[in-house]
This record gives sequence, structure tokens and C-alpha cells, in this order.
Amino acid sequence: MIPMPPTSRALFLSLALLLAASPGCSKRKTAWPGPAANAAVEEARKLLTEAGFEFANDFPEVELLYNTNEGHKKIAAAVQEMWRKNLGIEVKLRNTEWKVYLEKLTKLDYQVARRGWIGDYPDPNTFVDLFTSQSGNSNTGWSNAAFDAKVEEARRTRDPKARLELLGKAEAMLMEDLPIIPLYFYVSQSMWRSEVKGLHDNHLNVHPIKDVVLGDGTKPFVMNVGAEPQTLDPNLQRGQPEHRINIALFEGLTAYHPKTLEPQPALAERWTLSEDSKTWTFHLRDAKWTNGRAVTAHDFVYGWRRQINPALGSDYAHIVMDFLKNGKAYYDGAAADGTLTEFEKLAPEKRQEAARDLPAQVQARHAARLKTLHESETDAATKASLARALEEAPKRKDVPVEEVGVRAVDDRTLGVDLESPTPFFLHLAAFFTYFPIPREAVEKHGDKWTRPENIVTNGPFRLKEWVPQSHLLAERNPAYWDAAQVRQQQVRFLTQDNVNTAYNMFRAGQCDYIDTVPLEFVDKLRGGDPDFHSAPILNTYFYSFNVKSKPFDDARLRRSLALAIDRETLCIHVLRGGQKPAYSMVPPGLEGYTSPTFTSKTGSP
Amino acid sequence: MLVFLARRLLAGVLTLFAISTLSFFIVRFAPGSPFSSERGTNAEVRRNEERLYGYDRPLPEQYARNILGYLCGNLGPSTSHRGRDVAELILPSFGVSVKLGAVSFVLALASGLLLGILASARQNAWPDHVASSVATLGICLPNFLLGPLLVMVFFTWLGWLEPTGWPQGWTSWTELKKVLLPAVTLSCVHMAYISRLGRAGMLDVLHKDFIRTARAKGVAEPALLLKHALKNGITPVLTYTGPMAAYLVTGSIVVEKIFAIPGMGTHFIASAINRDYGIIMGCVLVYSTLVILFNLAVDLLYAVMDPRVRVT
Repeated sequence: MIPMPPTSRALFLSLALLLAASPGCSKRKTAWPGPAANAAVEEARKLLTEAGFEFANDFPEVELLYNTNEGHKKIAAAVQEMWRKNLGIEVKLRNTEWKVYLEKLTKLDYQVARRGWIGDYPDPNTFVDLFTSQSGNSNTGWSNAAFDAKVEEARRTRDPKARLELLGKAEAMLMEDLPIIPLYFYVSQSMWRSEVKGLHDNHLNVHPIKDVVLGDGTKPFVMNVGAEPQTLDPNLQRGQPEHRINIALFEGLTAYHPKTLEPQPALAERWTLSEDSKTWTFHLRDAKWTNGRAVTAHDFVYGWRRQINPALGSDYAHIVMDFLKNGKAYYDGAAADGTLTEFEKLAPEKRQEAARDLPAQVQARHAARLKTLHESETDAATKASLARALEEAPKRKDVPVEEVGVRAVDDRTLGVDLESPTPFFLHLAAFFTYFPIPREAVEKHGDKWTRPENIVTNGPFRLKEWVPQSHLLAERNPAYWDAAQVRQQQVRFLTQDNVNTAYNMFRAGQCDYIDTVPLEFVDKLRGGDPDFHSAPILNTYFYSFNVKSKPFDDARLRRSLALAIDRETLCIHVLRGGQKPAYSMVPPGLEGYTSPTFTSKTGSP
Repeated sequence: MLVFLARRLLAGVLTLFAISTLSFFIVRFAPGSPFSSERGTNAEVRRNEERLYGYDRPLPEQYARNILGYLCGNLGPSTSHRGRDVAELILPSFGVSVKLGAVSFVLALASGLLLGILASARQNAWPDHVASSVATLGICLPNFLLGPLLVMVFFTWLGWLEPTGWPQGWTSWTELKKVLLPAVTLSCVHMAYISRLGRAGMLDVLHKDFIRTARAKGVAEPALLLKHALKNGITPVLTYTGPMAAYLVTGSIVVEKIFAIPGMGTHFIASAINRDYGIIMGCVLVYSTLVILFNLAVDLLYAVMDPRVRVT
């Protein structure tokens, strides 16, 4: 060894340090970036190695996609840092605007993406059946036959306890395979004045307006719904803003209790359930539409059928067709008709590709048309696919709309036949997709039936004014069956989507309720503002993998990434709004259900 | 004059045509569709929605239908407000934007000219320095910063004005004062420009022979400034008022957002986010028509103000 003078040794040492610290060299060659922080990270590293990424340099370039938003950005940056620190791998952050994000998500044109899911009804099913192969909302490419079977088995199970257990087993599979990794459970962060009575925190974060009263009820109650409603048609509405308004304008068979969310009798006075738990009979009370006509069972039949008509194109059709008897079969059949029309329009060279999916789509009803197509086809591959479709057509159940499980026994009695026992059906009955629809208004005015001058409703309030990008005004509906209970005279819905502006409006007294507050104020408000309300809600924030893309087709890698995120730190130091770390997809707080969690096998996460 | 007018109008129509063609294809090639949504639905359902609006047809055909519609004065339906037409959505909001623009216009012109004249009358003395400081500040402060700043001072600290809102009537002070903060925010940068242009124009004229002669003849200073110098001195300002008017009406997008004003800018932003092709196109057309018309108006005004300018 050549002895080195002390100065050059120091120089050498600092050079080596400098090199080690420079970005090009920070990538792990042999060792990890540092000691593992805990057992979970230890396991994560082991899994990463098992998955074939012994060296960080092996790890391909990966993008983490989120829609442009300060909050999502902060979380993504924190996760990026945790993966870098714990696993020595680099991911790139990629933000896009909302519509581009949606497009990428639904077309599986991403690798890892930020997502969230709000429960539609207070039951684990709304979070679990999301990831079945036939779900339209999975957006992961993940498909697991055993999981599908468990969810299906749960659906068919009558005993409530056994059903929840089955769902728990299904969720355990999900947490084993991790096509998605849960990050945290949301909390609501809303504000309302102390003079407002009848508003309560609940875990769907919906507020039935019927019981709300501001002071003595003479001054309008002003509520910011957070965005311009795209439509007030219950069959077509999409989001929280519309929901907040329509819950005041319409009413279904049942209605949520403002605090517990337990379904209360609303348009249905009473109901009975058959022995096999599959047939409900609802007895309607004497109630009127705002045009003076009585609300009948036919209005429900019309509304529910309209909801699942593919020609209407409702985003929420699945909330009805998944549960009503023959709902899905009817929907698929009606949609298949269009599929065949599209196929016929295609140029011959494009048919081969399209014919591949035909067997799964074509219904019995279209067999004759299919036969003609098959006979005239010249391309061998396409002809084979068509033959297969023709073969399978009779096996598929083809159902006319009359056979969907909703029927008017008489004007005041509604019969509902379900595909399988659905213990939460009374909750569903309060959901907007199950509202009655006034046929005469829809048929007379078409798309324009929801304008203030045309709209016919049956809820505690009626629409008086709608100024787009400004506000909607609703007034107490004197014809409402329970009008005596409604003490608030007017409700003004604001459609402000700028969080800061809405907060200013609340502070200025221009608004009595806001559904969210600017991030930077959360700390201060949580410190003790009596108007600030925060409570757990059924909403999970998670990262989703495109399991069809490499390297995320490997469950070990997914698990490794999941374990390398420190959720406690994320909640306490990054989110800082009382959010809870999530180790399962289903949020806590659902009665009788305990989520299986994914944890480190060697210790607690 | 008439030939000039006809020619300019024709050029305006051609410009509009070019703009609408360009923006039609730009928005259509943007990723994402008006119907992409958080909930996945059957592909067939998406096609049904597209069919409803004619978006399933070949692009050239859609383009032709669009242009034909515009020629007949039909802006088409809106996808993000189901059951409403583009025209009925943007026309009322256009009125709001025009009112806000008009108030800001008057504000910018009055305060800008005042500062400019003061500065030129007392060149290199303290009024000049104050005016130039104010102008620099006005030019430097972007309205997305100035707006919240004003809200902080006049609402959070002083509590004099409301942070958002739009006057429901124009007669009472309580309603009228709602327009103050947005109008100041919107007009600030233009006030700054006008004060600089006004100062330069006035100084230029004040050093001319006829002013010296007038001064020698004993014309009082205020009369000299306002009667003799002003008319010639504000020509540069006049040139600026055309584009400014257009800016004020079309540029209120951010300000409308900050102060929750139901103007056209709000629609413009929302439609771009929602890919509401109809509203995007409608807004672009209204905005560009406005810019073309204002420029034409200014050219005509020149001729009126200065007989040496001939419009041919």
C-alpha cells in the first residue's frame, strides 16, 4: 500500500464522498440506501429482491399518475421519497388535468395512479365488488376468479353474518394480491354555522335538507355544493354536488336518517320482505308531485327502467342493474343490440378485431342478425369468431325490460324482485338512482325537463330558480306529504368550486355551509373552531396499479411497494387533517364488518 | 370610409372563420372526451352519448355542421349542462363580463389619465415619482395576487367590503360596492399602462412650440394642460383603449374566479376542463368578435380625433 500524505488522503476521502453523494451514484449498486427503518421495510426489501430487482438500476422508469391538485401532489411527493429512501427506487410524478387523467385510467394507460372511492351505500360490498372482473370501475386490469367467486357467494348468502364473513375473505384476497394499495381513509372537513340545526356528521357526508333549519327558518339557508351540477336528472346525475341538491328536491322509497343514515320510511309507508329475502313489497303513502298528480308505483317502475336503459347512458346504471332481478341481463342485451349495429358498420378489415369480443356481448335476441352476418362473412378468422358468437347466443339469457325485477302491483304497491338477497337494499332505496321519475315531464320536455320551469319533483323542496355558474334556489314544497316537518322556507345552493373563494364567503356570512376548507387552514380550524366539523367518512384514498403493465404484474413487487409506505407519517405530517392510515380497502365503521389488513408478515406495519 | 368599413368587416369575418376552424380542431384533438367520467360504463353507452350530440360522425362532417350552425346563429347544445343550449348559457354571463369590463374601463381610464397628467405636469418632482411607483407596482402585480391581497386588506383586516359577489342591482351602495374589488383588480395593470402612456404623450406635447407660445401668451397652467395639451397628448392612450377594452372583457377569467362572479370567464374555464366543445367554441367566437370590433372602433375613432388620419 502506498502511503498517502494526510492532505491528499483528506482530499481523496472528500472526493469519494462527493462522488457517492452525486445523483448518478446514489442509485443502489449493492447495498440499500440505509438501514431498514422497521420490519415492514425489511420485508419490502426482501420482496423487491425476490421480484428480481436486486439492484435499483434494474428498476425500470415508472410513472405515478395523479390529477392536478395540491393535495395529491404532496402525497405523491411523500410516497416518492419513501420509496426512494426505503427501497432505493425512483418513480416519476406525472400530473395531468382531470379529463386526461380519467381517460388514462379507464384505458389502462398508466402504471401507478392515485385514486379514491366513496362508498355509494354503507356496506362493504360497495368497496369490494369494485374489483371484480366484470366491474366497470376496477381500472386495474386485475382479475381473480377466486375473488370473483367469493364476492358472488357473498351476494347469494342470506345470513348477514356469513355474508360479511365472505366479503371479508374476498377483501383478504384483495389485500394479498394488492392490485391497489390503500393509503388513508378520508375525513370530512366541512363548516356550518351554529345557528344551523339539523345538520350532522355522518359517514357518507350527505345531508338530507328536510330537517335543516337556519334560525327560525325565514332566512334562506345558503349551502355551497362545491361545483356546478351537470344535470338535476336523478337518472343522469354523477357527483356529490347534484346529490346535495337532489336530496332536497326528490324523495325515494326510503330516506337517510341525517345522523345514523339508517333508512327511514319516506314515500314507502311500510314494507314487507319475502321468506327468501329476495322480494320486497313497498306500500306507498299518499304523496303528490309538484304538478298535483299522485306519486304512484308506476313512477318508480318508469324511473328504474330508465336508469338501466343503456340508451340513456347513465354512469350509475350499475347501482340498479347489479341488484334487480334480470337487471344486468337486460342491460347487456340492450347494449348488445348497439354493439351489433356498430359491428355491421365496420369496414371488413376492422371486423376481425371487433369479432373477438362479440361472443361475450351478443344476446340471444340478436341470433338471427348474427346468422346473416356469419353467412356473408368471407374472412376466415372473423367467420370463426362469429360462429362462436352464434353458438353462445342461445346460452345467454335474453331479457326484455318487462322482466326486470320492478313492477307496479297496483298504484300504491311496488314489488321489487332482487337477483339475490341484498340486506342493504333499504339503503339503496334511498339512493338517487332509485328515485321515482315523473314520466309526463320527461316525455314532454325531453332533455329540458329539469329546467326550473319544467321540472316536476316530489321532495321537501321545489326548484324555483337555476342560474348556471351562480346558484339554485329551492323553496319549501307545500304539497310535500310531510311539509309540516319542514321549517326552512328557502334553500340557496351555491356552485362555487374554488375552495378559497367558498371559504371567504363562509367567513363573510354569505354562505352557511361549505363542504371543504382550504388545506392551509385545516390545522388552525381543527384547533377549536366551533363551526368546523370533521368526521370519518366512507372514502378510501389509494394507489392503483395497472397489473397488465410490467413490472406491476408481479404481486411481490406490489406488496413491496405497499409495505414501503409509512402511512402514519403520511397522515400525521403530510395530510395533517385527522385522516386515518389505511391498511385495507374497506374503511372502518361499518357495523359487523372487520377488515382484513395487509401487514408485514414479520411484524406490525 | 364605407369602403374601409366594408373591407375591415370582411377581413373580420375571415379572421373569425380562421379562428373557429383552428380552435375546432385544437379542442377536438385534446385528449379526454366530454363523456369521460369517473365511473366506468359500457363502451356502448359512451357511443350512445356521442351519438346524441353527433360526436360519432366523421370530424369533417361535424366541422361543417358546426360552421353551418354558426352561420345560422346556432351555437349548439352544451354537454356539461344537459338540456341547455350554449347561447342561453353564455349570453347572460357575457352581459356580466361586459358590465365588469365597462366599470374597469372607466376606472382604468380615469385614474390612469389623472396620474399621467399629474406626472407630466410636475415632471421629475414628487407627483411624478409617486405616479411612476404606482404604475410599476400596478404592472408588476398579477391579478391572481392582487385580488386575494385586496380581499385580505378590505375584508379580513378592515371588514369594509365583501370578499365575493356580484351586484344584483346598480342603484344602492350596498350592491354597488360589490363591484369595487374586482374592478380595481382587473383595471390595475391598465391604469398603470395608461398613466405611463399619458405621461409620455403629454410630455411630448408639452415641449412643442404651440404650448410654449400659449404659455407666453399667458394661458393659465390648468387650461394649458387640459385644453391645449390633452387633446393631442392622449393619442397614444387612445390607441391603447381598443385592445384594453377587449382585454377587460375577455381577461376577467381569473378575477371572476376569485370573486365568484358569474361571468363568461367562469364558463370558459369550466368548459375547457369539462371538454364542453360547444361552450369552448362559443366563448372563443364571442371573445374574438369582440377583439375585432374594438380594434375597428379605435381605427374609426382616430379619424374622428385627428383629421390628418384618413381611413381608406
